[in-house]
Amino acid sequence: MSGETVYIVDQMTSKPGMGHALLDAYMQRYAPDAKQRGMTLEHTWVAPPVWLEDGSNTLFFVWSVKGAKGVWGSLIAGRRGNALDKWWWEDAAAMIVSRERFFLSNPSDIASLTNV
Amino acid sequence: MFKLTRLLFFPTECSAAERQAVTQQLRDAVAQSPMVKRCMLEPTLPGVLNGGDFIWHMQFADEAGYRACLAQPHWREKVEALFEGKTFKKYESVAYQGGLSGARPVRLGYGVYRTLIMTMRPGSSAQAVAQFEKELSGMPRYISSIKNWQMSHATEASGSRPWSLVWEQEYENLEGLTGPYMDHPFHWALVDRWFNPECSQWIVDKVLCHTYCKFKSPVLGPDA
Repeated sequence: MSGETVYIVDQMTSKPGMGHALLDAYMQRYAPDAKQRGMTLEHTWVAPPVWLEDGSNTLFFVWSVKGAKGVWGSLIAGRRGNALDKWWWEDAAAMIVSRERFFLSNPSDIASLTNV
Repeated sequence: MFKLTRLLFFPTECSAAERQAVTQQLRDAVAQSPMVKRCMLEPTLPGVLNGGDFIWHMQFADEAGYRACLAQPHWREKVEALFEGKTFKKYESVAYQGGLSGARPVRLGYGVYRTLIMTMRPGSSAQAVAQFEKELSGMPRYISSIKNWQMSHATEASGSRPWSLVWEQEYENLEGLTGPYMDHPFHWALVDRWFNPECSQWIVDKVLCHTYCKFKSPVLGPDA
């Protein structure tokens, strides 16, 4: 195993009318620290591509890191202290209906990622 | 088997000789207790997290044997007195009936024992806990460096948290834990979500005991 690209995807569905506010909060209060932890923001997507005033937008943030060490580097540093807990479970939660985080890779990298 | 694991934290100023005297006192108490079927008392290795200076692990035929052991006069005088006094800075303790387990067909002589002692966050649903335990106990299927393992629910616990779950493994060497166990995607992409405040699955309390030591004979698996 070496430095295969691992993608970390946050999928969040906003409370009605809060899609744009959620995007702004994520980019201002979460993303800078994530970058400090070695994560690279590859894509930011929103569905549908219109800010809904009385409906929910779903946001997708696609981050990348290098291999298992990159994953752990992004995770462990964030677990010191309670700042991330507060962000996800209080601040962001106030704007979110549901969320999910995925860890993904290219299927062609599975063999090397699991060859540990 | 019914098991008792205590993680011993000596005061920083406690000398090596003093630690040796205390651990010898514990070994002597065990030697006088026929209900202890197996005992391991080993110093932890560098890198543990709330893991103590020593892991003291004992096994009994059943819970009745465990209770009979604790009720012995010499145990109360020589062992419990240490834990009630100021011998230790603190200790973490968990007693449990051995639960779901597995082993690979390899005979371990020397190796590394690791235990993860944890509890769930308040409000965690039974359904989530069950799914977490299913995934946790699925790790050995994918991570071949785990040779012997057991996942158990605590009967009694004390220390930093009311511990509820014990996840024990044995490896041929430390690299099996620090390498394949940590690096496999089944760990960081699936199981770790239950430990990760950034994931919606987060249910495991951030305060836990992650500790490991060398063993001279296995305490898990068919050779234990």
